[in-house]
Amino acid sequence: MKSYIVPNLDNNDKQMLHDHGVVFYPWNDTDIIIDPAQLENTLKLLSATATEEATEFEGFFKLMLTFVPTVTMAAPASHHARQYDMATAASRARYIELCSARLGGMAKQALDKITSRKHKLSAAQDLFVKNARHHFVGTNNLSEEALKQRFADEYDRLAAIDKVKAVRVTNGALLVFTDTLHAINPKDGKRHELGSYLIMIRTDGGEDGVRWFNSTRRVRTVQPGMNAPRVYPDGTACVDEIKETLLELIAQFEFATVTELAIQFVETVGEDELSKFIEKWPLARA
Amino acid sequence: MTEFEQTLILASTGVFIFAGLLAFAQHFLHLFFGRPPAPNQVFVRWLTEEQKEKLRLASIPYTPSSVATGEDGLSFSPQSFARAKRLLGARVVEVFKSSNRNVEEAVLTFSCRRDHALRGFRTEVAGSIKWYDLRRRLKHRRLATFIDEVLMPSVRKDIVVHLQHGRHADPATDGKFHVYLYSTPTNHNQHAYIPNRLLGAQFGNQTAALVASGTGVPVLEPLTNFAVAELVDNNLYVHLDIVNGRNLIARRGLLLRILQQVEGELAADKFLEDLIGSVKAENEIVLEGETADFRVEGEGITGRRLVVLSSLVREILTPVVRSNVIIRDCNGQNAAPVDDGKFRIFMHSSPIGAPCMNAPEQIWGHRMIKREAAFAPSAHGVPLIDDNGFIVGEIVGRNLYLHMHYIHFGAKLEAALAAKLLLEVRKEVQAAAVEADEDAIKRRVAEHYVQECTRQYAVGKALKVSAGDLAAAQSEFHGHLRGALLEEFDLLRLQAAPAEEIGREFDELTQLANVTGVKVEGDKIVVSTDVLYCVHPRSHMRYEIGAFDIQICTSTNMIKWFNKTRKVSGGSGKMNAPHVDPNGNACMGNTKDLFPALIQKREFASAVQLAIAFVEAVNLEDNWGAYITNWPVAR
Repeated sequence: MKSYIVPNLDNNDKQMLHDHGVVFYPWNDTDIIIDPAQLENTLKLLSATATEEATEFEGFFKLMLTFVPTVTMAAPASHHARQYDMATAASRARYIELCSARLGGMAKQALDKITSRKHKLSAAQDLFVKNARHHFVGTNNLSEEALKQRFADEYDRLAAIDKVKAVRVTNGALLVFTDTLHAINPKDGKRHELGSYLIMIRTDGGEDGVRWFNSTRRVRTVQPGMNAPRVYPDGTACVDEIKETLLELIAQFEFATVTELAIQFVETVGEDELSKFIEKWPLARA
Repeated sequence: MTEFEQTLILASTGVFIFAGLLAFAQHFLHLFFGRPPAPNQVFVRWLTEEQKEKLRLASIPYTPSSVATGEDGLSFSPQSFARAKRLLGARVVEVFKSSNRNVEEAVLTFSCRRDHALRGFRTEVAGSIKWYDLRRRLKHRRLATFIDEVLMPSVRKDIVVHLQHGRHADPATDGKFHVYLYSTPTNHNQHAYIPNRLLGAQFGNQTAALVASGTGVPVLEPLTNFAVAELVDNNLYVHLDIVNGRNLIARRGLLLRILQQVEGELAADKFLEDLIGSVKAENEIVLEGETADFRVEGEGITGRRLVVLSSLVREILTPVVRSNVIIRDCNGQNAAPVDDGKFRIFMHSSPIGAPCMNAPEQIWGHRMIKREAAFAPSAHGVPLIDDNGFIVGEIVGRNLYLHMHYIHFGAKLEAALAAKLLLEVRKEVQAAAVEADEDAIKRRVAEHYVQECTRQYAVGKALKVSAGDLAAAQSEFHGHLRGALLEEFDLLRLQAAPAEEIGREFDELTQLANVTGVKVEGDKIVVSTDVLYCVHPRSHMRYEIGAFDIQICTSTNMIKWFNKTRKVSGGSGKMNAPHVDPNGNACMGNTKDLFPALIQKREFASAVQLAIAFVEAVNLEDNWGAYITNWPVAR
């Protein structure tokens, strides 16, 4: 009987396979062994295609993985394409083929555009949060005692938020540890378990203000190690208008509301390109 | 004697006299016109506190000053400089010109009593010299003595100097200390761009330098971060071409400064002692405790890196973790936390995830010599955060995860960063030990929260910002946020289904105004249009041109127009359109390169839009365009 060695998986991938019921055995730190019955599901979960290569061990074949995390995403457009008559559909396919040489350039162009925009955004964001903080402090007339009382009350509100397990304060940041968070897939109404989070809130609003780190599992979608459908591996969220609100609230020391919104943000799944990957997180136990 | 020989003798005599006059002018003209003005001030850098104290006690006047940003030192009048030199037993090795004409910088070396134990060691320049070449022998001797004076007190072994002239040299392991001038340990042959100013010396374009190989401890110029040399175990590679192959003394002052920098890195035990001393002085209260009982071991980390890190761990961390410490280099691999009573430090690791964060240039104000992708925190423990919000590491139980290596070479700069990092770890470990009771933890966190908010509030008072300024900043931020939102959406859509993005473009092509169908066969795209019209620019009459098949050939990057409704005489026979000949070729004038360029870039949608616009426009100045009136007027 054949066994397959699946190479170069990180702990996130292994955790995700385990969460989806794939039975595997460790081969070494990064590789696992699966049997043929698990192959299809494994590749589907990893969004990969594979070619096999014999190894020096009889019956063991090493898989060469090619990650295509996006194949599943073509479905809506394919559905659209089926509405054409056969001749137009053939023309469309041929057109795609003729233009394929442009794909690399298009991707690079789009990436360059967003990279350059993010540089500008980052500078504008820093200026905005600093100005908002200075303006808030400048227009606030509370006495020192009243101010301290206000901060103490805010902390009580923060600690009392549902799903907040613990709070720590460290050098320039609040660390909020949450219970397990869930999200509902709007397509089928199914509830997925995202995991427990560390939400890091910078008290000066720097470095994007809020970052989310999943302590239970990280999942490969558009990038390996995503913390949530809309949270990248470095803990930053995708661009969303909620950022403006979060930064404004940070500037006003409304950290309890920031936390509530931050929890709500990861638990909300929309119709956007990133949210579609919610299916990659395991279904919640009833 | 011929006339030619006489002329030659005269010319030689003239040249000889002129050279004599020039030499005379150089040496003796000051007797008549006076010497060039002496500088008003002499600048000296890198004097120790002890030396400054000596100057104070001897009442030698000096003023703290700087010759450039970040280049601080002391300024003396020429008279007090002479006194200071005598007092400190200093010798001027070279004088550097300064941008300020009144100031000159003196590079000093200090004579000190030689340790008797060093007498057994020798410094020599490698390479054979012919027995009669006494000049070269003397120059070798001078260079060797010069290097010996600076390095021998730290090296304490035989030193061999190699003149490499840009050639690489493998590190030697023969128990001697080797100095390779203008060389690197690997044969990468990459030349570096030298900053205009290095260690106080000005550079022109003529000085060559090599790039550090990255295999050893880089010796960095403090201001520019330029690697002037590299230390690979007992081998020093100077990257700059500063010792002239012929006279061997070209930039003595600069060589001295480089060697002085190297000396600081060489004596790891000395700088560690200083560092630990200063850490202890600054943290007197926290740094108490017995360290001798516990061992610090390395796994996958050896040599100077281990020496530096283990010394710091022993002094800073063991008194609070109170157990043996194991330092393991995980090299970017995950490592599961261990709970066996020992304290573990995992370098470049995290319990989960992969390195995905960009490293900052500085951490806690300490410059990073080498940067690499860092791990994000696993969120299983307490993250350690620097002043700028970078998550340096994480403490998970009795495991410290460092998200980068931080110690690549065991250099001084790295040791200072590691000391700061370990102090932060120490604080966290101490806090965790104190806060065992849950209620006490909550109370303490609440207090910290109020303190942190109060601190940030105080920072916020530093500047007054008007509502108008805030609104302007918000508006700019909002604009970029909206832009980024759309651009990120485009990128994600493209990443999600790249082929489909092109398919969408095809769909858009079919939906363009006046397009009735698109067929793609072989390498030809045929776009069928509705009846197209053209308006006379003067009479404003509307002429009906007809329905078209626009053919784009992707193999030749050419485009052709075929009128399916009619062809009209005018210009060059039966025309397809006012500017399109009977064969479908257009007279495009100065836009002739536009279509091939668009087709080559596979921008077909744009090409089709342009092609339709081309038929719908007429240029009356053109020979063919004048025949527009031959086309039927539209109803």
